[in-house]
Amino acid sequence: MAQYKEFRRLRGDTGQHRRILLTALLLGILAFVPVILRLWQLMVTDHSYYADLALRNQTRSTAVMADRGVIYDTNMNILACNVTVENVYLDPRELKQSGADLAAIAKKLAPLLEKDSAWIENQGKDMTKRYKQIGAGVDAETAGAIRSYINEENIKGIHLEPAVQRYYPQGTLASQVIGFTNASGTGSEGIEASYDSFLSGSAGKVITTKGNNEMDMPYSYEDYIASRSGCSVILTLDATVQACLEKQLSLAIDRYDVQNGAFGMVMDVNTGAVLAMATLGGYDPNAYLEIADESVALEIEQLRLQYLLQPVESEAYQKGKQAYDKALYAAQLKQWRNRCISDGYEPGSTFKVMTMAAALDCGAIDLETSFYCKGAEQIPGRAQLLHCWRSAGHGSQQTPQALQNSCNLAFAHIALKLGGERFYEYVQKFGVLEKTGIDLAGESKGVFFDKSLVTDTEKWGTASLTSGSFGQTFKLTPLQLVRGIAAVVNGGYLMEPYMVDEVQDAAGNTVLKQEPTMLRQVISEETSRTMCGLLRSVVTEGTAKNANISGFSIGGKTGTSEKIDIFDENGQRVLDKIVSFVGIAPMDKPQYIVLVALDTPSRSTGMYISGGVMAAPTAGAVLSDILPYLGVTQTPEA
Amino acid sequence: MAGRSLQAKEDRPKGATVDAIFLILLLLLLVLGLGMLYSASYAQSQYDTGYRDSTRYLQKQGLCAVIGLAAMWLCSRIPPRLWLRFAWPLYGISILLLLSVLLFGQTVNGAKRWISIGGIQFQPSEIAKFTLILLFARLTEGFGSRAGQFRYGVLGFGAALLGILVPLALEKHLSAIMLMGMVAVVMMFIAGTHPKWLLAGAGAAAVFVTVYILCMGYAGDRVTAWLHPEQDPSDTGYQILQSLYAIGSGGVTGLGLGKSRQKYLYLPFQYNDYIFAILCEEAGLLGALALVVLFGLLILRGYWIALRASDRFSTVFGAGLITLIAVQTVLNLSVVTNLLPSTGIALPFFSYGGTALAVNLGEMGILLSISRYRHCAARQEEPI
Repeated sequence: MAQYKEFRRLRGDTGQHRRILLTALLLGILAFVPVILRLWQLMVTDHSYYADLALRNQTRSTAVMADRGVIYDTNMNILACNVTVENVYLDPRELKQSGADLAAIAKKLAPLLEKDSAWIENQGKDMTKRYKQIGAGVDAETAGAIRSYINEENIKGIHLEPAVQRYYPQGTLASQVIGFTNASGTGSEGIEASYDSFLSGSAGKVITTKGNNEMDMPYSYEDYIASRSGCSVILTLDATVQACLEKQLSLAIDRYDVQNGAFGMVMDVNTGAVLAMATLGGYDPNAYLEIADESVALEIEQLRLQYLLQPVESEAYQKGKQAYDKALYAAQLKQWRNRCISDGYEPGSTFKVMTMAAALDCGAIDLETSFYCKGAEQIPGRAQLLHCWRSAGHGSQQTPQALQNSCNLAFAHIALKLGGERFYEYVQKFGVLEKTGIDLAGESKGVFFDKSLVTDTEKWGTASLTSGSFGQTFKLTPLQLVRGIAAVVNGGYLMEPYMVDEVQDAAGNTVLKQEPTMLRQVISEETSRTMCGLLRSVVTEGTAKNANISGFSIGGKTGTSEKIDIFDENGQRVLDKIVSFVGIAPMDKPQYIVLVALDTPSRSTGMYISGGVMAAPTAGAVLSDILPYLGVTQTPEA
Repeated sequence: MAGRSLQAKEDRPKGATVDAIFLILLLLLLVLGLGMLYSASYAQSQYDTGYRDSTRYLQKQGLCAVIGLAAMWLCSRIPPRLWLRFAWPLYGISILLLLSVLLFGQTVNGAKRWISIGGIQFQPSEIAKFTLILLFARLTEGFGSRAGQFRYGVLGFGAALLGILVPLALEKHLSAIMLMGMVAVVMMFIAGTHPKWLLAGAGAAAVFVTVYILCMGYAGDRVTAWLHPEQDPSDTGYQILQSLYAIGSGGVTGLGLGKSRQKYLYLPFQYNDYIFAILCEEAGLLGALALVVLFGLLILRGYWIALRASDRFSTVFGAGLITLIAVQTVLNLSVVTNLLPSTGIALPFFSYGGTALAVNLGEMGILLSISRYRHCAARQEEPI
């Protein structure tokens, strides 16, 4: 110690030695302790967290699109597929650098791409982007023309790149059933929407390690997740049957000057498989945004031209633009709509088939039950006088004649005999209160009375019950009606309708096979046989004689219904009518059911507006086209 | 004074050698530093030269290392006390150089801190760090035990410090101000300034820094980026997040030497201030700890040399020089690991920067000379 003090004295130092030691301890050891603890935390405790973030930081993922599945009809005709097209784009900077004549290029490309040449020129002047798409989904022919133009003139800055586009080779055929894919490739409407998860497949991706600024990295790895192609969907729909149906509906529209389009379908009564489903006034899914109806398209174009004349930013411009957008959107929604499953309508007399089947099945009436029609009658529990459609009346008739004549008064009495409870019970069993469960997007169900309205006649009277019996003052969808009547003729079995027969993966293996689904038996087989005979007689002797075609035993029922809930701008009920016919063939062993409905035939043709006059011959024409095709044997004596 | 130092040179014992342990540690760090610089700058060099050259940065740094080693050899042979007479002149020259930066400085990376003399670019602040330490050592010897008094220990040192800090403040060279402030405080502590004044000074500096941050939006952003880098990962938080990715993904054993991924231009200044992050990524926790231990040993050995120096001036001079290395090392590692907000402080012997490397090596040469001349002067010192 003394030695140390002597040392310090010699140094002329008081505590400097200690202070340096302290400094050394602090800066040589202690100051590194937080750093070491921090390193431990970052590199040991949180290592995987940071390693994961670093990996994400250093990798690029590029999506590889999956091929969308093909949609086939029942005979493997292609309804929707993919085609390789080309997109055309400009690189404004490259164009400028090469000193290209933008005006000349725009002039040349405008007609090829069906674009405005001034618009193309503006795209080429926009230097903010290096990729300006000027043409999407260009076909091979146009692409070739553009390519040869680029080569001839040696233009730098116009590029073509391949792209995949959905293509519907049959155009408007069954467009509402098939649907379409939107701009991002997702299925919208119809089969494209309801089977999107099968059709779309799953996109793959390529993951690569990349340095910043796209620098290559020597220690990189690549990971490839293959895309999985979408499954193909095989429909029960038959393109030939569909084409026949659409052709006859279209002819009927012309012949009867039908104002609001037409719809119809063909279904297998025993399985529920839908062979055709048409809503006329459809669209081309290859150009689903364009309004297919020329007169509507013209009206909307007028709206557009009107607002474009107004000064931009003005209130009139804004309002006009809104009106245009609204009208365009409404027209698009309308043309995409599948009325067979989405819209309820008043079935009218076609519904009498179910009422009569119910009354026969539970024994409320038999074939000998007689009715008297004097044209109009005061029905107990009904405030207003009930008129039959034939004001002269049908006179004395038995059950078969009641159906053949489609006599409203007779059906009012049948309903009274049946009673509200049983009527409602059968309506329910026929599936009027529920969606059919068809595998299509956008199905709705009709609007039927509250149960008490038909059962509690003490309180509410018999108006709903009697009107309901002949298909008025309630709504159901065309598909609900067709399914109910199919159950009447197929032995009494209510089926679940379906549109997709099979789903196959890209290798052709079956992923899903639709089997007919029987939901319940509604009426007995015996009642069903009786009803078949009655329906045959409607064609041979009743209101539907126009549907008769030689060689086939056809049955059916006409319908003419008013639109009770549509009013004109003056608040008056419109007198628009939907005329329809449901036909079944062959009657000895029912196999196919056809619905034809024409919305608002014009009075200008001078023809009597009724299902028997207009819809029955149309359905007959459909049947005479399709029955031989479907292999139904002719019965010469019928 | 001059006579004494010359006498010291004559009294140099025959065959006296420099401190071998310190020299070995230093050369080890230098070699590791150059190797690491090559790896860390590899991608940047390729990118800058269009994939033609991966050694652009290594070449420049290697040249400066050679110059630095020459300076080190030279300094190790100069008797330490010879520096005494240059303390004031060098101090004056430093201030002039710093002021001339304000007038004719060149801007590199957005900061005007460089001047060019005879085609050679250098940062005067690197020289100023050295001359400040030299002057403080000179003053310590002059003040003797009076350093405990306010007018010497505080006002004397303080005035000398301000002479350098004011031009630096005009340059807005925040990191140099911080570094020199800390080195000055440590040297004053060693010289004998009463700790209460140093604490008061540190408190005042803290208040000043707080006010500064509140007034300057720019520095305020840095603090936000420090505390919550993930809030702005693409802008202010980018650098520190990329640094943490590099360090964290290294794990215990690292990705392997040369195999950093973050150096592929993800981490900015990967060959410069953030070179330690690349080392962590490549060599892992084990490599990082080894480096920390090497630096710790160098620093401890440096103080050991200072303690065993022949005279008071040499002791304080040596302690000041090793303090400069220590403070830079600690600050750099703390910034790279986000313990402290980002400031531009390089890692000695590792970070890219020729002036700094050469000057640092020269300074280490002085420490070596202090170790060489350790035996000869104690008896000449008189208690003051």
